Amino acid sequence: MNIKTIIAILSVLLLAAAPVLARQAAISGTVTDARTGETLPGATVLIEALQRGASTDLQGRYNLTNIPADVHTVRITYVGYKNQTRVVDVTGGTAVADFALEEDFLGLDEVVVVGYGTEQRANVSGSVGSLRMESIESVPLPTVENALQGRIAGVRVTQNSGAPGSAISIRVRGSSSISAGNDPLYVIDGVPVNQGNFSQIDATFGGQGINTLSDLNPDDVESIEVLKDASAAAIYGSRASNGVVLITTKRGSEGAPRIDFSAYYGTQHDYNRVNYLNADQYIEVYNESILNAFGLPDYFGYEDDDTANFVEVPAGTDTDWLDEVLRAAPIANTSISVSGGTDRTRYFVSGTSFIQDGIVRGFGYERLNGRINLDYQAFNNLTLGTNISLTRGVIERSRSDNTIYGPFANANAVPPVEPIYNEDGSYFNTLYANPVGLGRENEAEERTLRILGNTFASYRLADGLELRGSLGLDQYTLRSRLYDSPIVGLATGTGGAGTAANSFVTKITYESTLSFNRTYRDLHSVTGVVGGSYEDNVTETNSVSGSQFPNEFFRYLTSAATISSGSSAYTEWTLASLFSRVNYTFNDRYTLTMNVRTDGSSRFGEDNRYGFFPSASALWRIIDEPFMSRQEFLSDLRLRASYGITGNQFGIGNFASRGLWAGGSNYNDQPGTAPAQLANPDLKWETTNQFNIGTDFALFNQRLAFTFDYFIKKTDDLLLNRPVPRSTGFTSLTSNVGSMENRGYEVSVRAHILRGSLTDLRWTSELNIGTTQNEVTRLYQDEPINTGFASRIEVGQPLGVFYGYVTDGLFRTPDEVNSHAFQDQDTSPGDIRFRDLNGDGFITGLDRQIIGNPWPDFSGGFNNTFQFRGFDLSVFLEFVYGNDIFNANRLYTDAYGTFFDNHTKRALDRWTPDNPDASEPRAAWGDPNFNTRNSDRFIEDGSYLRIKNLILGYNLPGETITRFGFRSARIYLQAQNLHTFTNYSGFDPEVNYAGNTGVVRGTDFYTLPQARTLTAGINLGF
Amino acid sequence: MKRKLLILLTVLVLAAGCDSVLDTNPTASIDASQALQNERGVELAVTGAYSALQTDNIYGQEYNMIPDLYADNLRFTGTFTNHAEFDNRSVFPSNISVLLTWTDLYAGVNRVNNVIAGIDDVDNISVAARDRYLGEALALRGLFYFNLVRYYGGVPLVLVPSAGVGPESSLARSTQQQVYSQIIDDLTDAIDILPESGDPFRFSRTGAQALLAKVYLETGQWALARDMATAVIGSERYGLVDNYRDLFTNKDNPEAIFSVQFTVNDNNSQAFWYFPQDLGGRLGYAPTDASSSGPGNLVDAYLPQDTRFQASIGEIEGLYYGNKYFRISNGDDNVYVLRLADMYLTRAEANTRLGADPVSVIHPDINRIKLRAGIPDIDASVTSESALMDEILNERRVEFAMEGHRFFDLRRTGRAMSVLGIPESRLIFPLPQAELDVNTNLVQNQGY
Repeated sequence: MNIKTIIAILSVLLLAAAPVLARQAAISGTVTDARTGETLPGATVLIEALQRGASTDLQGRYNLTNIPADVHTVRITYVGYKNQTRVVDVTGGTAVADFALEEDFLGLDEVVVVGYGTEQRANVSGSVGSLRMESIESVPLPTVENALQGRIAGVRVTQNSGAPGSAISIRVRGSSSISAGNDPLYVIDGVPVNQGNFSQIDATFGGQGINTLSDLNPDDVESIEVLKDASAAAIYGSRASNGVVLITTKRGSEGAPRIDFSAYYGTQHDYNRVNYLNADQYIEVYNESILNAFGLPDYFGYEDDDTANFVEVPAGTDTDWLDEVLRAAPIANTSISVSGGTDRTRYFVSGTSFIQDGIVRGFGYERLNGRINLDYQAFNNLTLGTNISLTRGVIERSRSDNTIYGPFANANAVPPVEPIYNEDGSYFNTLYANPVGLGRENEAEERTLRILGNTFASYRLADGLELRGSLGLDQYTLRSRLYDSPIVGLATGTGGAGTAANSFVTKITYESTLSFNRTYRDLHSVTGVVGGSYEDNVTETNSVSGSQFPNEFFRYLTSAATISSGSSAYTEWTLASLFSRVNYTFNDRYTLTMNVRTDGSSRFGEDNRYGFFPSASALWRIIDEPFMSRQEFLSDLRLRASYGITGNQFGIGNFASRGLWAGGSNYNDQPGTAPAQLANPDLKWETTNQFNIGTDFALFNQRLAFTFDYFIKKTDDLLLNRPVPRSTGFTSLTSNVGSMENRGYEVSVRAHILRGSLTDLRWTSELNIGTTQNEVTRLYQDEPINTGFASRIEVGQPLGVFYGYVTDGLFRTPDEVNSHAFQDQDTSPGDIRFRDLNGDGFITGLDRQIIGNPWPDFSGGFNNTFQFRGFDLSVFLEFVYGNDIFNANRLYTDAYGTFFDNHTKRALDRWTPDNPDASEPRAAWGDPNFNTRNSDRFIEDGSYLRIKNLILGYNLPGETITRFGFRSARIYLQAQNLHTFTNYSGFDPEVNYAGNTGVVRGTDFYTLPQARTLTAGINLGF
Repeated sequence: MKRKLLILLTVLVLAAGCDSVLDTNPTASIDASQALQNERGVELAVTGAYSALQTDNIYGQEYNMIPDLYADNLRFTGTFTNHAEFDNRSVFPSNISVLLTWTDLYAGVNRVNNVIAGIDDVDNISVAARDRYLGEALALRGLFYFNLVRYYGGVPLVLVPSAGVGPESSLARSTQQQVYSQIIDDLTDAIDILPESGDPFRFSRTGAQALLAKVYLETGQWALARDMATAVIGSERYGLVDNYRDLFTNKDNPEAIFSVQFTVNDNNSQAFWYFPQDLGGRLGYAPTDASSSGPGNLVDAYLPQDTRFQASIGEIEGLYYGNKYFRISNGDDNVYVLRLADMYLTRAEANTRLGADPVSVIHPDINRIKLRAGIPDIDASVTSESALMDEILNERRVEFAMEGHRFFDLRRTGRAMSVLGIPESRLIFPLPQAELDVNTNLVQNQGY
């Protein structure tokens, strides 16, 4: 029987349940802070049995109407306060129930979203990190992932580049895979979503890719949970090895419509430029190197000097190319939402517009989001709902990073002796394509249209027993357009070139769950869920490319004289799963949780199609033991331990296990076929075994709280395109080879240093630190793999360590050259001495070793929030310590006197006979000693401490704003990346030139730096 | 009601695990077992084998450039260190071109091995088709291995299709002699069954003969080289074009014996890399001239009246650039593997080695080439073997500049070390390090 049919039948049956009618009543009251007596606006009042709720207004009042005249259990929840539950009797028609809530610094009563359900924080036995978006509401967030940076221990977020809309790297507890992907699974409102890069035009783009996740609207998000250990994540089975990010969007609650408006505007600019040589200095270095190499004096000179030069630089030419391509760029966000509800219907509707121009010409990002989240209680037992979000995104791109056709890359490389324009106003033909021309004339844009929605029906079979079915759709449509102008850049030879490409990515998820929640004799509490799901993923792509445009004013393919290629393709993969979680708590002190998932994936061969992923965890709430009541020192103490198995299957082909011949090997315009892939019928899931032990404890009446976790994560059967002898005609075979291990600890500290009523100074301080030690423990034949510039995978080392030669200062005299191992016949004083590690008297490839590690010793965030009357100030520091960067820019910028690329000011301290104590090698055309070979010369300390966000806000006082009809009003100023403390000599130490790749990390190659962003904003509530 | 729902739920949950939903199939490829089932399948596979020649690391860019860059015809003017290493004549085993040329040539070997091994199991294939496709596959295998052995010396001889990866995949190197003898066997078999004629974009019988002539020359089998070259010339299927430039502007010309056809659909980047930025290219390398730091001066190797200079080398603002490949907009310049001029000079070289009469036998072949180029005949006094070899070598240099002959010519005639100033170990390229890492039965060439 077709699964879709079953879902349909189920839905109809759910609707068949009959309504129950009863006499109506109402409850009202006020919610206050028990200590200060202040009223609490925005607290949630809930009668769970009826699924009815309301929020308190600005005066802390609530009013629940149209409820049955009966005895009800009313629960009050409010962030930062303990829940309170009371039985209220409204058989008389009306009742008043006031609540005074006690502060809860630990948030133990808060609900935490976990896989296929929620749990109370106090009962969570796995390692789950939470972020409530309201805590960072004034931070400008281009994407949801930015929100996580530095906020959760063990979750390392790296903005690979400053290119707007480009992919961001998130690593939960390090990297656990080489080829199968290291990104966590993203689940939005319970539905896994499309993730990854589907652009068809970025083959020549150098480094940064785009990512479907940038379509999500941060303003719609209520909270983000990161499932870090196997116990929490195993319910997502084969996709959970890298952790799971659960994103929960905002929903309406019963009450009058609440309108929230927020807007900010700001500017971004670069704030840490690398200093390059000016024209005079450039000429000096190159004339020196060309004289030395060819005996040719005065190669460069100015037109108005008295010498004849091979290259006559127009007088007065001294172009600061960075200045020409960098700019101050605006960033703006406007968002409005309306939420509310009646006794049966709750809604949240929002619209957001976000605009971010790049600080480099040719880059930019715009996004429009709309969302409607709806809950409708059709009958007392049946709730229907839908979450629908629509996104339109436009990413304006230019080439960057590893390219010589990118405006920023070329602005670094092109010499200052070349002008921007010819006398007739056309672009000067610079050494590499004219950076200004590239930024202005070439176009690339990615336009997304995203429909992300799910509908669900939830039927309460009995108290604590609920059946839920849902259908999720993630339709991602990407239209990519690339245009290379006939007048500048890559396609001047072909009269311009263009590509138009469409990608249609569809993910449909069917899901059905039965959840239960029963307590027996007030001692045994059992909660959990069983369910099944089926996921169908289809990617359809088509593209067409052409060249020979009439001139630079024609930019669409319709004007191209030659259509050079076209294609259309379709691929599909499916996943069918059964899963279950059972959570048993005895006497509110001992909790055992078991998760099990079975996944079947179309990506694997018949024999290994199914994977089984179990986990178990235990929690001991020591603080609730009777013997703990005699002490005052500790106000919380819990112990957690978990073990489980998760899998990974990202990043491999949909048909990786099969032996295939592909079409497309055409010749002379005749079709041809060729072997494309070797079969590997044994291919199976990557599996990760993870052990986690942790504790939460608090002192000083919960005002100082700690969370500590230690984990060991071992990944086996790594999915790896293992190299095969190429004499077979193939380069690799997707296989399960290799193992990797991550271990580390995570510490979070939260201190309420000063607290008080709203009129006193409050100071909250939060620190989180995570460490991960990664080690590759096994590879195919334990053979190292080199990749990227200097990255290497080697057994016994962290993934992607840097590998190269070891420098040993400069040769100062010919004797020093002659007495050292042979490097090159043209090696001279002023060249770099490389260590002869194997002592064979020759510097060869055998004289390389590990020279750096891209992974930090630790990283984290430190946030301090001060509140005084209506003012608040928050200072958020983000830090990374102990990592190395391979600064590949210097392969070219520091090849003194070679390539004609410009050099940094370091070149001024190059070796010459007159500067024998120089720190930098000599200028020599062609770099005969290969001073720029991959060596520790280019390894730099990548540690940094960044003032990530500084926010000063003011909440207008209640009496003032009420007069104008506002519920709340706040204004703020914000500075992002205000300063970065680092020894790194490049633009920005937060860098990955290869984008979000698994292995090549921490390498800088003409990567766009992040901007400093200054914003001013306003939030208004009506 | 409740029970019904529970039953339904169970059914649903079980259905979710149902296997058929997990059966998906690719749309742009087929299972290997389906590939060679009939004549059409064989035809597609042979066409696919030709397309293996088109990669950047074979005739798309490098195989007809690197032998000139490593020698004295081209100099490095780009940014890619893999090419710089060839220009410096100091190539590291890690060089990406060394790896990818190896990779692509063996990919081609596997393609033809599939045809050679599978063709006799194919039903419903005519004898003519079988002979043609098998002949082409054998000739192509000869070409792939000839290119391999010229770069790397003795290489693993893979003669069966690869179905999986096992110990049998890690073959040790055969000797250079074994590889050549396999090439000669393949080409001899191909000559027996290939059809006489065909377009110059595929192997015909004379194409296999021409390649065999070059193989004999390379291996010092002078008489056989002479006879094969004579067979090609004597077939009268080919003639020198009158205007040298026509070789490049006219793809289907009478001089082409086998050239790799490129159309707009499989464009190469030959012109892109030769052309300077002013013409929309990237000038990865340029003809050597008086200002070059390394050995050689191709620009001055042409006599002033030599029409080949204008046809081969362009000049813009004092900068010389390669101009044989000029279709930058569509990238559809063809690349010669074999053309008739090569046969004349091959025969002349073989005859010189055999001590044939210079004036009556050797000079006419050389003069045919000189005449077409518009330069004077060889001086009748040039009769000694070394003087004749100098003449032939110089003629080959300007005739085939940027067609991927120069380094092999210098090496074959024993002059590479003196002309290029390299030690003996640099007469062959290193085996790719990545291959050595995976196949531990391989031994690196001496000196790398």
